Amino acid sequence: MNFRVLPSQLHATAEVVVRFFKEARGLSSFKVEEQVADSIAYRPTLQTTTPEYEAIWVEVNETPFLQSLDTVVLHCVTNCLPVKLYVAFPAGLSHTQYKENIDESRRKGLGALEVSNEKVTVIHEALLLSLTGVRLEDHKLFPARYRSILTTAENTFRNGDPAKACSLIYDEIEALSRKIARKIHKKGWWTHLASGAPALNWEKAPWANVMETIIDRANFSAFPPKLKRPLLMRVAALTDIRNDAGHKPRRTADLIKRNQELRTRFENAVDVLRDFADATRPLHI
Amino acid sequence: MAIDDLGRELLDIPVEKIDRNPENPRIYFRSAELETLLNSIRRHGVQVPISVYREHGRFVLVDGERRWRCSLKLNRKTIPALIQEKPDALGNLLLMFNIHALREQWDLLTIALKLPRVISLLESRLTKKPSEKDIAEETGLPRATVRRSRYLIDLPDIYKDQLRDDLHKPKTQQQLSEDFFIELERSLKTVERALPEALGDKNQARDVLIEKYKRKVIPNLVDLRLIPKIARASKVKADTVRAVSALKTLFKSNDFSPASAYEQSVSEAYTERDLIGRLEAIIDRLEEIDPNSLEPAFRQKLREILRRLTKEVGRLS
Repeated sequence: MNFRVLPSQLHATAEVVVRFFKEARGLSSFKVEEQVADSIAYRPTLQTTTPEYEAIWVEVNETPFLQSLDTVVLHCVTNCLPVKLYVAFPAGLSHTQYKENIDESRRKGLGALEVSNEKVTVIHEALLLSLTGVRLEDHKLFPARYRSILTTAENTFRNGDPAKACSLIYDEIEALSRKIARKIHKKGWWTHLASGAPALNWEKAPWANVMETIIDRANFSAFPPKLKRPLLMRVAALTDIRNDAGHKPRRTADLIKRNQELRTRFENAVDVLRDFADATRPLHI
Repeated sequence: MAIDDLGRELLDIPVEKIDRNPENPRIYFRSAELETLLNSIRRHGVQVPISVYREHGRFVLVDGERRWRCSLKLNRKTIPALIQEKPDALGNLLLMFNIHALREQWDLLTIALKLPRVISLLESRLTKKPSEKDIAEETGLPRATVRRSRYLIDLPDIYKDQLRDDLHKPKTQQQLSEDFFIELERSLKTVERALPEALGDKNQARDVLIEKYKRKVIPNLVDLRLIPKIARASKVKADTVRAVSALKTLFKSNDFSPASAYEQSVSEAYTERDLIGRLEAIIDRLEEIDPNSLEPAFRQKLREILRRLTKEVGRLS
């Protein structure tokens, strides 16, 4: 490999890392110190792309973290770039320096690869930077029973499965919707009762139908003050995209677009869950 | 186009069209240094132009390799550069030595690896072997640096490689250093000159001392300075047979340290020489004093010290 920037004492480390990615991850065709895009003021030491169109960038350095990577991470997060950025470093740092660097690297979502005697140890994996930028809500704004699932969903999102993360939140909203429907039915909070109460299987009917029925027939004057039609319309809007995880991307641009959409959906779903849970709190369900 | 007072053009040139100078002696670039410069260039750009010359439609660096490397890393398209005439081989090398002599110093091994070429080119120009002074003047290096570099130049390749391998490691993992090899070579050179029968195979002695240093049998570099003292046993009238035996044991793989070898062979002789030297220096000093200028209390103190000294000399003799 022909390095122009990497100091010579780190060439062997870079070679070991390339072998590791080939043997352990099946990734090859690494480009060396090449431009990623005109707009990015950074050239990783090594770069390649996975079959899933995720970019793998490796910075080879003497320590697990560099301040100059902050700008790179920010650029990737802001532009939703599907990049996993690793820092590969030779083993043998002093404990304090090591811990500080590793902690910082983990916080930023970077991967850490320690290279020693031709062997690579994965200290921690890199997160897809396009997903790490997801807005994290203050968990105290949610009823206690939702905090654990919220943590799971956020971690699932940041760890690379945004569709599943959205699904976890949708499940909670759907369950809450069905509970409300049962409560309304039990209390008889319907309008036009002369024509009879809606006859729907609140457990098994499609979620969209449940929401449509509540919005059309519920007697909103009997509801707690925050549980209003616009909020229920926001919940109903989720039913359209409930199972739509998007098509498998066919190129990087598709992956960027899909991740941007999933980030927006996730943040929106979390907002709806927060407002919905808050509005229905007086119903004690 | 701007021209400086040396007639060099100042241009913004494409970073991609620049090649590093194959004669640049510098081989080690520490990540931390590059990182600091990188952050500065990201914020303020390249404030000081690099120096290059034209060759085959591209540019070759004379000065500014770190600025160029950082600009590449930052994916910058151009960099300000002073374009100068292509120097001859010696001029090219001396230019780089002089640039760095005035700024941050290179590692000694970096200098040592390139100095033989400088010496050879200088020899052709001067039509005589350049002296240490010639080399220092031409390269801008202090004479002490040239002298220290020569110890490394004379090292067999296998040890240069060992040193290079260690310098490649992170600082915390480095065991051998340029200073270690300089002390080692100084010591063995003295043994070779003063007590050659103690040395045997020089490489074997090197290997053993390296291994003892790594195992901390030799706890610090200063202890290596005891070896030439042992080799110069005859100068302090110590038993040279004992000195040879101590050095031979030292140059074998065991836990015998330079401090032990010194203690068993010449320590006493050096102590004696040291004591005699000090006492003679005191006598010389006393001889310089005018007896009339002394205070009675000082005379009294001197008599007291003389009495104690006589008693101690009597005990020892």
